[in-house]
Amino acid sequence: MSDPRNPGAPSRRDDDALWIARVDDAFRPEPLDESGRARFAARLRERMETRRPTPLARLAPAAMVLAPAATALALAAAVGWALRAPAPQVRAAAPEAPAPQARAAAPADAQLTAWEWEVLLGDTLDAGRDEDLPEDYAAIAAAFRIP
Amino acid sequence: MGASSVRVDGLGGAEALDGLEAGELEARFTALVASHGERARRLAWRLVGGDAAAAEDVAQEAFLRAYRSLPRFRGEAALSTWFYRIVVRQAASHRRWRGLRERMGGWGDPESPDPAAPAAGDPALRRRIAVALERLTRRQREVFVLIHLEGFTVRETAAALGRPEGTVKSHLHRALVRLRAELSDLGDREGPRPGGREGGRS
Repeated sequence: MSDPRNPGAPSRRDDDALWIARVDDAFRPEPLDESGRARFAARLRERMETRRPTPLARLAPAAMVLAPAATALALAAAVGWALRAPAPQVRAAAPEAPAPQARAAAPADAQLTAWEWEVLLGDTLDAGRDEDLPEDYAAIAAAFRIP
Repeated sequence: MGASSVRVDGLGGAEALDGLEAGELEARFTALVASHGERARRLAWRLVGGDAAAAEDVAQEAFLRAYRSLPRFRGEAALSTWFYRIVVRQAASHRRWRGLRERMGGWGDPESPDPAAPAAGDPALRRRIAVALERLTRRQREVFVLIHLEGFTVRETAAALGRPEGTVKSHLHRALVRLRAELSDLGDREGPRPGGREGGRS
């Protein structure tokens, strides 16, 4: 049975239509009454008046997770820089090889998986709003091996 | 994600909204809320698995985002299609954050559908349907809800999801097969509610 209101849809058999009708009936919220609609509108109005978003605010949720990761990355970078820096003359005889446990700190401290990065940043990337991302996103992503 | 090439409907015909006076923008937004608020809340409720509080949050956030973006609306898509695209994305975003909170455990307040929230029908059956929908892929769930429960056409759904119509049909078919297998006993129960699906259209 085809739905004349939806001619592009695949044709449905009668039992499919009956089954769908039952799902439709069983899985729906109660409609809002007049006072419910008024409360909905009032809450929306309040939300609009209290939420004046800034670019910073839009990134706040991601920042909650980014901040610790970025801190760990910065610390690891600082340690790495310190170990790679030319040895001062007074330490000219010191071995150049950095301590292996210090260099391994960044990946070990990183708690975020690629999936979590996708969760946090997917909408922004999907929407093509790359400019909303932190400037150091590429560097951070590379550190976490995000493609 | 590019805008679909459809027209503005319901709020003044095919036109871009650039250059609207603030008052007129406000009036159009008020009209959008009045005409689509209930449906947006219901769609969100279904997409987030029957959680009334989350559905209201998703719907309101979608309206808020629509309001912010309305001045930049280019009139290349039906305004309603454009708006429901925001609702669907917002619901998906909510589900992702909910999943992340659950994964990280104790970070924020894990949300789950509120069984006490007012809803139609049998709570146990409602829960079963929510679980079955949960097992679909995101696109299958969105397509099934939009077309079979909310009465969108395949074309509208394709525009709202930014997917080709053929892909939408494919998702729809797979969703129906999986859900019917999981909820096969629904076809055995005695008679549907009088009026059937008509209440689902708006």
